Amino acid sequence: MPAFLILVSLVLILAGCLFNPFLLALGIVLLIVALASLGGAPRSFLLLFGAWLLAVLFILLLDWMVPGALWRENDLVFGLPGSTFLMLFGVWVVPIFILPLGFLLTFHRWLRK
Amino acid sequence: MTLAGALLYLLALVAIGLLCLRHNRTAADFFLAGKRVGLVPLTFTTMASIMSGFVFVGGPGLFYEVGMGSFWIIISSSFTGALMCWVLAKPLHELAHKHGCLTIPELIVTRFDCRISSSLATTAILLGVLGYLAVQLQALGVILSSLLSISVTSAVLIGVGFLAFYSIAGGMLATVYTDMLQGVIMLWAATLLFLFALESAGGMSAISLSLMKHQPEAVLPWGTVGPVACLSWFFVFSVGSLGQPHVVNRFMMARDLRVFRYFPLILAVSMSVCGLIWLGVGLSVKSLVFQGLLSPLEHPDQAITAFIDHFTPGWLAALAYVGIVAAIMSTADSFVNIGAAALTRDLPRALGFSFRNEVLWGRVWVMALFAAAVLFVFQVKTLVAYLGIFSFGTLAACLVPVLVLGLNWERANRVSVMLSIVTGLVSSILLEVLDRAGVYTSDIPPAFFSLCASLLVFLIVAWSTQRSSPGH
Repeated sequence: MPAFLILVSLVLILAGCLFNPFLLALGIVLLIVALASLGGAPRSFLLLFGAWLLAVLFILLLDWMVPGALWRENDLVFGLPGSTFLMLFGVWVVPIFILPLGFLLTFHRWLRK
Repeated sequence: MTLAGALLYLLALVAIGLLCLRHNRTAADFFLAGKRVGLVPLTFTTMASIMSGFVFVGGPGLFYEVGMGSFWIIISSSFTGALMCWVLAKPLHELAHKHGCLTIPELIVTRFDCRISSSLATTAILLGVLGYLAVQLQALGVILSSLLSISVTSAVLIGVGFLAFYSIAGGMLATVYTDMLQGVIMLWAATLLFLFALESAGGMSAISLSLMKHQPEAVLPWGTVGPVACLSWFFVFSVGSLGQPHVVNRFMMARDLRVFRYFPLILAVSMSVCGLIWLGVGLSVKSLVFQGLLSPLEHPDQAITAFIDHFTPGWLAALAYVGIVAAIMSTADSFVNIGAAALTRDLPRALGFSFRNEVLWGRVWVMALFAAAVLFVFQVKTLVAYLGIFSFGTLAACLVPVLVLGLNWERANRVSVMLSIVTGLVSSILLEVLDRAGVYTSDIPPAFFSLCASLLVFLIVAWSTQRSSPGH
């Protein structure tokens, strides 16, 4: 199943880079989730992480398509434009703590075996 | 003070090299630090080898050129540690400890019993090693020449002298311990430079407002290159990290599997702290130029040195320069050791012979690789970050399918391994040639298509041919 997901995600990635960045984002998230799943990561955890990452990327893309629709340009969050703050918080800061926690679940399963 | 700090640091490296000299009796000692590395040294050596001149010099330079969009290259550092642990830790650790593998081509022979694939992987590794080593030496030249006020050529030669000394004397063990020292310096340098950078430009709000006024895209998520280019960088660097030999071989050095329990957390935190230099100095320098406090840069790669020279006190300039030199050297020493392992063990075996004294030959090849990289660096005038992207991409395209799918998927077989490496190698070189010739003009890095192609070829060939015997 993960291998099939990898194939689907690669098709989405290639189609996305030619036609639509939303497809590209979907493909990348799907690929990351499929690779982690291939390595034995807990599926429910990956589903949550994938949904979070996808939501953040889609919001950022929506903001790019319709500038100012989600944040007014001069409204700053912690000194950064709203979309930039979301990018750094959602794609950079949150995974620092979330993914290692998910790995701990797999690690304990390794030790039990 | 800067010069004294640099000399103290370089002497510490020489001392570590000398201390590790007598601990290199076997090839496993010289190439994999005896496979006895614990959590703290393993995390620091992994972080220090990943966070290179590409991040410390190329990053702020690329930010100056394309704005916040450049940060998509490093943003995945927050989760690639966990991804690597899931996909690589267990199979690599088992192959290294139960089957005695010391290099990636040896893993391929052990798993698939295929000498051709192993030789192809050796070729890809040597190509990537040479390119990456040239990136590090190019960055080392820029920094050391600024630090010591000498020409770039002399700076490269001095830097290589120290690097070669401890790499030859102490092998991977010296690399691990120098990486620990270098990692600590890098973390302090990145944190303090980030804070100083924000303060120098008037704080985060002032930076954002000045950028929004003059070039809004520079501070918005997709930079001046747009979402497709940014997401393609995100793809190449998040997935491509799984195929970098200087990272992969860290998983083979671990003392036992328990070492990996908190490895992803510590790695993610430390790499993200280093990433602050990209963000802080990148934002600040761009804003300082718009505020008229700094002259526009002649070359984007000068962003970091321009900031340090004009806006930091003497003690911080010393720490920052030593931190950057540390980042560069910690990656260069890892790559040269991997290249030497390929030349000492993998290439001779592919040609049907083996060296009797592998430690001695390892040292000879370290010296030869540094000489080749020095010659290469004087021929290449590319932006540090772009040369880094090419080398990273070539290694990713050739090794990600083999390591990720080859070690975890039961359908993987020798034909799929062989064809995916050929696809990765040929497409990387071809696209780079087209890029240099001006035929390939897209903002999407060529590595994006090479990586997609090699993964697709692996999957399709594996499904359409016989599965490998599980015993290997």
